[in-house]
Amino acid sequence: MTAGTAGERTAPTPEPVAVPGPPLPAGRPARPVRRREARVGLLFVAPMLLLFVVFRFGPTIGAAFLSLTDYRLSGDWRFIGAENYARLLQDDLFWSSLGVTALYTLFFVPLTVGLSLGTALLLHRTVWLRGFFRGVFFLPYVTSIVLAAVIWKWIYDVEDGLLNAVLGVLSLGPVDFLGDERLVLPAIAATSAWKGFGYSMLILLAGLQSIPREVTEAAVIDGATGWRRLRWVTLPLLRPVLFFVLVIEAIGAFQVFDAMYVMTAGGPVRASYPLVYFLYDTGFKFFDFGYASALGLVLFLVVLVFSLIQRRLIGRDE
Amino acid sequence: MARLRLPVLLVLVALVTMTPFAVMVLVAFAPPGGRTLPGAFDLTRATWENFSAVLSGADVTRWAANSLVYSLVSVVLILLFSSMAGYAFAKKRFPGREVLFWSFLATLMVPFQATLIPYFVLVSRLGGVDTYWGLIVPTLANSQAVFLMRQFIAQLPDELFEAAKIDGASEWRIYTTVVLPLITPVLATLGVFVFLWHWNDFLWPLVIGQSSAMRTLTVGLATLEGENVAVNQVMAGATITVLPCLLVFGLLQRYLTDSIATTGLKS
Amino acid sequence: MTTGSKRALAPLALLTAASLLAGCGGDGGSEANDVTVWMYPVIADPKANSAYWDQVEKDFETAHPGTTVTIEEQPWENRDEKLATAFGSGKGPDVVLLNPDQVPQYLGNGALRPVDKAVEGIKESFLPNALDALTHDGKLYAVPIYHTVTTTLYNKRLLDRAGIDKPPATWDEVKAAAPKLKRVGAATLDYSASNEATLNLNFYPLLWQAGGTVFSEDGKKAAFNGPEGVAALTFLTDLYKAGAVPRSALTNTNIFADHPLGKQQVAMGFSSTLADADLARKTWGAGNVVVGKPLRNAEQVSFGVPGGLGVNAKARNVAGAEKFLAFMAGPARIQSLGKASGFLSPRTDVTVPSDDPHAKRFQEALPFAYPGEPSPVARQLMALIAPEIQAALTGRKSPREALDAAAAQADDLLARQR
Repeated sequence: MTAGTAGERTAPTPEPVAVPGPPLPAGRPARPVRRREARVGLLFVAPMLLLFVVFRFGPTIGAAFLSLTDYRLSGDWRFIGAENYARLLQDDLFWSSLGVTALYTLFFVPLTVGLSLGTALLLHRTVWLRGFFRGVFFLPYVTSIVLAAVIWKWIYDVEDGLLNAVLGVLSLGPVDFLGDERLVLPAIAATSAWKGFGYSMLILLAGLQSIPREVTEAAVIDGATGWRRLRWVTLPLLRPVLFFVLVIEAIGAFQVFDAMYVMTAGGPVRASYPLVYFLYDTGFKFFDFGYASALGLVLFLVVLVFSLIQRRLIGRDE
Repeated sequence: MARLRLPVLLVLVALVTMTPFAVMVLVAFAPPGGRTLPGAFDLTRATWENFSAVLSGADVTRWAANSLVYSLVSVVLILLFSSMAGYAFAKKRFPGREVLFWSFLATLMVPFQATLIPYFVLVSRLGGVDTYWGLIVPTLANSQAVFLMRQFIAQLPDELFEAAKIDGASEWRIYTTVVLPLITPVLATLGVFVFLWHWNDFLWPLVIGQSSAMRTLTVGLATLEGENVAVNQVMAGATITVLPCLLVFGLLQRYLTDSIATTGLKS
Repeated sequence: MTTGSKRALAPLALLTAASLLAGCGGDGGSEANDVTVWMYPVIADPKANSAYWDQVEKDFETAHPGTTVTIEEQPWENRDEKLATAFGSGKGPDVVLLNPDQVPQYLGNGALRPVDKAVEGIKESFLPNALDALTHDGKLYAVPIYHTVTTTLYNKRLLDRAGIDKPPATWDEVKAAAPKLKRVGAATLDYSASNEATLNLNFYPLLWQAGGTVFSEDGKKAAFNGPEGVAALTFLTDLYKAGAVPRSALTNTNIFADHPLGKQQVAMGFSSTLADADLARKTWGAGNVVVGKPLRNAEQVSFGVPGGLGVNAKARNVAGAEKFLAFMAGPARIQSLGKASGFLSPRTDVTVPSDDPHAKRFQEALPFAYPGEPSPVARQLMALIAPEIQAALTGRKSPREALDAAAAQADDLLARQR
């Protein structure tokens, strides 16, 4: 992708959730809907429709229903009303997992957006081997978080890990990154940020390249340089894209699970035990499917709030 | 000096980004037991031993086959069903079209983890636990794919289809001979993404694959790690896991990076 | 070995030709004359484990023409998650290897059927403890095929260096040894406090040694936060604070190699298996390995369980399954399995012949072996207690606060069981 072609495109079309796509084609002259056309349309949609009804709409309604029961693995269940929700409010584990999730989000989002913005700005000003560097920065994104977790677990290892070897050379440490309650979330957030920053970097880069050259050139003529130009010209223009990236990463952070599953098993002292891990354990270790479904609904509500904020603010910016 | 600052910074950040991959490969090739620095970095002692150990001990080949089945079958079916749906949503009028399309999209607001339990209950009741279909079929309902297809096909001029229709071609024929060739670029892009999503997927294969024989490579890697296999072997396994991603990346980097910037596709 | 989900030294034994051929989990073989069995890496060496169970398949089919058996090798990792979901979705195996603490859980779900018929006439030959542990409401739910035992393992080199002639056998002796070992740069007692490590090899033995129990007598309340539990956790946290329990205990799982005990950084472990002792002989040198009796405080006890074969309530071929159970409980199989795995015999009339130099010491520890208190929520409870023990070790909570917090959660959990 060259600067030219990217510049012609506007800021990224965010995920479909955020912004409605172009209107459905209404260009054809109004005429009675032909039955044949309708039948063909339905037939072509049918396979996907069936999949959605069974595997998307069904489970979503099912989640709400299950959360009102005490469904067990064996398949017996009783309707227990809002009991699961009442229990949830009094469950220290729930609140602690929610707290861990929020704290993790606070570590992860600035870290990953900072990294993405930094690398995007670097790439934006680079001419030399830009495609190569963009590829390098993006590479971790195409791997799995499990892979990242496996590698970084060794990097953080208190006895043999790379990081402690480096610290050892500097006569520091050893630091037990994953065994220390205060360090474990930043350490995992760094792993996830390494794995994922390439995505937001590309979005931000496209955003940067869509800023008309004249604007920045005008700023240069006005004497704005370096940091000032970034602070007062580039960032304000980048705001909608930056905001989109922030929300997307926050939504992702709230669903964190894989990294903890591989790196810490939630420890030490549940310092890295997030909401989805609690949901997973409740379902697949305690077999308490009703309660786990209630937890799922909480997760849904949190993500919904994020999405609505995003919609609202992006709508305002346009 | 100031002119050099940018490239130096770039190279530094690139080096840091690549370091984890580098240590993975170095530890994977280090002699067994050579997990500590600097022993692991002695290239003269590099060996394939960890790879042969991990390949002969655990069922890495079976997991890799499962991952391939999971990813490739999903790619083919998602491309087929989503392009069919996208074509209908973009070019056909039928009652409930708008409602359907938007309710497909609305499911994006529901995180997968939130419906994990009913999902699992449903699939296990249907007998899908520990089967390929149980692994694959539920992941085919992909709204991003439908969305992307509809957007792309909507941009194609109607005349292209009208001409074929006048020639008396059946709808299925129009779809296979006119629509599919026209949407090749978006099929390629989406195909790459779907492949990576499935290859790297963790939570669903973790809960649905009960026996070792039904694990995917990503889940298998996590269990290798959990079972405390020697670090050298885990890293050898990790290296094997990442190879297809690197291959796809190397071949199709441009498709990937361009399409994120323009469509915001994200797993 | 079998005792701990993470104890597996044989992680690579996951897959063998057998499970490959079997394809998808418990789905293999729908004909009613086939019996599917879920087996775990009871033999630490993956190749030996596969070879052993392959041979069992052949021998059984020779002895019982017309009945085929498919033994699928599963990993210890997450075995309850897998088994429960498999049972729940009707895809469970016909026969499965069970530990005593798993029995009540699956019994509660209606997933197991009594197996008394398989041991008709030979019931008296089994260790009473072994049968008791697998019996509920007078019915036997798994036929013991081996018995494990753990005991203390000492590193003589470290003890010598610290000038300790008599290996510490009681809590007081452990406490007294700690400063001496610290002077020579060694820790005293190995411990695994990871969330993934089973408490059966870590906190529970200390609790039992203090004279405490996990549950109240009726099994409806937590009892581990009584004075005995507090004493046990205080013993542990005091040692940890003094550096006598390795720092890495917090994240360690029950693994010998690559961990402090194997790396000769700590002088003793209190839940070591015969396999550990053999490994120690190789890495420390034979002269440095001392196997002792279980550690003693108010009680002298260590963890040890029978491993038994249970039958799925929905088994398609009950007669075949029972034949297989009887086959495995026969003297020949108990001896060959014991010899290959290093486990002991669950039968009083059968001893496993062994040329292992430590086998005799482990045999002597068998009378002290305790399989733990049966509870349908035994495994879940561990997930609640483990983080609180970490909290006590890091000093965030006092031992009493930590155990009280865990007990409150445990009582909730128990109250929810119907």
